[in-house]
Amino acid sequence: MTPMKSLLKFLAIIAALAVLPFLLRSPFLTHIGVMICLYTALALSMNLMLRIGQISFAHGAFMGLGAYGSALLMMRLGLPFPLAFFGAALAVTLLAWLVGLVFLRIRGVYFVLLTFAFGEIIVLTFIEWVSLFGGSGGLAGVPRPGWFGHEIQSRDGFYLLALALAAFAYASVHAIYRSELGAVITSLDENEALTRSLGIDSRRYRLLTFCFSAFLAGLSGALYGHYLTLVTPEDYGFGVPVNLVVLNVIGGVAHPIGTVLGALLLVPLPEFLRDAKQYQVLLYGILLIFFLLFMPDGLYGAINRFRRGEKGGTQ
Amino acid sequence: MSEVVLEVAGLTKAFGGLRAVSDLSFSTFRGEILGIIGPNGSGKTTLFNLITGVFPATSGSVRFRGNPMSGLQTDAIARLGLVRTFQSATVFKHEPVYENIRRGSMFGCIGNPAWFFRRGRVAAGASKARTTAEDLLEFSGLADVAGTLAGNLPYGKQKMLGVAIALAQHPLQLLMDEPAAGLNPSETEAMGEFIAQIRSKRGIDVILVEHDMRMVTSMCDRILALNYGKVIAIDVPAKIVAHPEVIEAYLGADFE
Amino acid sequence: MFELAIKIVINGLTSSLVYILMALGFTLIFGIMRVVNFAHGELYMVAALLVYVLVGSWGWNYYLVVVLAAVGVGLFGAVLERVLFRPFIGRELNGMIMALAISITLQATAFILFGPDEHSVPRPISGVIQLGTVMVPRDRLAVGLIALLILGAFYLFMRYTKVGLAMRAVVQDEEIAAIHGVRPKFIHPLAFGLGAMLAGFAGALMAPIYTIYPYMGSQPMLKAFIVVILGGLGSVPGAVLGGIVLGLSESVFATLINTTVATMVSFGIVVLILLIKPTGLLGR
Repeated sequence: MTPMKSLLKFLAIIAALAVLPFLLRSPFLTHIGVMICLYTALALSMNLMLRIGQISFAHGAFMGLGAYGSALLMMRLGLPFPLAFFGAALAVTLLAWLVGLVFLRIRGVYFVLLTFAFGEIIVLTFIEWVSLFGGSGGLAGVPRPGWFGHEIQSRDGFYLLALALAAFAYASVHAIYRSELGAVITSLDENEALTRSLGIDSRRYRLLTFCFSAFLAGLSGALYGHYLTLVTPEDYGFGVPVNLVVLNVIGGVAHPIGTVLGALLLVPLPEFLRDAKQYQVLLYGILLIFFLLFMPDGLYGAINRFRRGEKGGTQ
Repeated sequence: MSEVVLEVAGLTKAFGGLRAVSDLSFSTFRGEILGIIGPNGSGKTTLFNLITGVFPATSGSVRFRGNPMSGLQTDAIARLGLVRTFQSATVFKHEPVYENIRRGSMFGCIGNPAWFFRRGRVAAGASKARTTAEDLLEFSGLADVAGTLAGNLPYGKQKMLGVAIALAQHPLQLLMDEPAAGLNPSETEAMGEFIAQIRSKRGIDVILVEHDMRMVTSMCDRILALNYGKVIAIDVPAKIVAHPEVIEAYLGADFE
Repeated sequence: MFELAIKIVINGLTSSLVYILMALGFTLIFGIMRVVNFAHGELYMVAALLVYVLVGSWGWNYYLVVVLAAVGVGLFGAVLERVLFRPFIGRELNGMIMALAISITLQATAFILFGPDEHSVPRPISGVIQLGTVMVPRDRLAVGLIALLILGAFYLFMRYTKVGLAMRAVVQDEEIAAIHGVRPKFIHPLAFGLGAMLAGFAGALMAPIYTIYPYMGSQPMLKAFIVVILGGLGSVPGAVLGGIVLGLSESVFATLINTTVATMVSFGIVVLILLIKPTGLLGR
């Protein structure tokens, strides 16, 4: 499929998704739509890290910093939404750059543990620095997004914003993976020594990936905060990156569409099982165990194998 | 008088109390194939790692075409034109042969992510990568397996591919880590011919670290013999094989 | 002032002992199998729940149940290794994700079975002992003493039994240990089981002291994690040293400022150690 055709197909899908709430007219489903979009963007940010073979448990913190940042920039400094929103995400990216400079020297399990410790420190800071972050109660009354005097009050409007974010995340990640940048990233994971011997500055590339990943997480967090109009520390702890890993493993790490599948399947669950949240967590756990053992390629991998089987086993 | 390509001066590396290499000095000249031999533990690997920037030297210097290389990372050294190959076949197993070689060329152009933003650089690099890949497929004799996944190739061809990938960066000097390791006699011969052609047809200088004495003596213009981290001798093959200290160092060790 | 210092030290030391138990199990599992056992806290929790059910509801003898719970959790750990962790030997990140999966599954199961509420178990010993002018709760003292006993037994086991030696060999260098005939298929479940048993002891001992609820394993897990990083992943003496350092440091900061800051400082130390010397104070 030519690039033009893919782009048109993509835009058509987005357009169809955009009109969906107006057809379905269900606030509950629209809400689920918003959550799916936000988590798609977040899960894609984690997918980038998984592609370079690293898990970052700092992403909950990045999400939280985006949420608090955007809220504070609007509430305390009176900045308009677009400035606050992107400003917060850029601040998160800058922090990721600084942190990444030091953390990315470390590899494997130790890197995961580092990001875990970092994430915990950030959440504890949210709780402890009461004057700035509002303590364990957090920040209430976060303003709604809006620009040029027009505020987004309705859930449908929010859905469009979230959909735009998800579309951006998907398009950019997909474009990265299809490009030479993507080839470098997968090569780094597959064989770092060989890739470096070919002149690739692996540290810079890992840093770039980490920063863009944090940028997406920051954007998602900011939008999340404005959606809930409430930013509390417990929403941004260790549970977030765990969920993102679950989404990616079950959906399939190999292609961004797998991540979307994971979000489509798993995000609605907590909303439907609202009163039985623990059953949702239990299901996540059991699914994760099952997929890790028997379907490590995730749903995307399984579908791929099925399709290849249907075509009569070509290649 | 040929120009000096690689100049090693007073190179020393100590790990704690142990000196892996002591006060090594030698130079390579334009157009030559230099062999480096030595029994296990003689410091060959350490020397290799020092030149390719795996770790810094304790003292001494390495200069490549006049550029000091101390403190440079392996990728920066590769971008300067000094490219290494690996002792065990190192390829992108899940990619076809063509893509492997293409990446060898392409990655050299985008070593620093900032270069993505230089206008036209990526496009020019991609086009050059395609031509390079086609050319090297022929040159390395891998054209018939261009579409095969690298992991599915027989080991000997994987090692050839490894060399082709290194060549794709258009290096000035190739630093080869035991190219014959793991190869049977006919594959070794093919590899030897390939290396000779790299010098004669492409004008690329070669440094070989090897155990296979037949390959080394037949191909190299000069041989550097190491033992206990020090240079025993550096001379033409005929003189090296007759050198008393070299013979003594190899007594009891592999001498194929 | 002196009283405060004594109080800090005693609190620090009694916490240390339990942290050390947790950390030892954690570090043993990592040292031998290179698995970061994110489910370690849940093993602690399962033991505490067993105490709650067997002692609190069925009225069995507390000390008997402590042993039963620890052994039970140990066996459970060995089974987990055999069934769920074995496929991931050599794939550290996937093994870690599996541990996470087990952790959230166990937490959710506990929540579904026992509800979110905090339960408590009657204290087996009550009252305080007076050391000079300082009051020390007797049950904490008992926990400390039992923990010391367990640590002593563990030390003897690792030092003087064939299996213990085999395990230490594997922690040092798996390849060389294999040459000497140590079979990983046998050592791995044993190590995991032993590590789990230590967590089980910790959970059972702490059950009467704190309340019991599904997420009670998170804090000890975090402490174990910090202790092990401090002391060095895979180092048994490191876990002991790390436990003491953490227990004391936390006690100081918690008493002088508050517990949140104490935890932040602990994590800050973790970051520093991972950056400067990832192998920890005593690791290699």
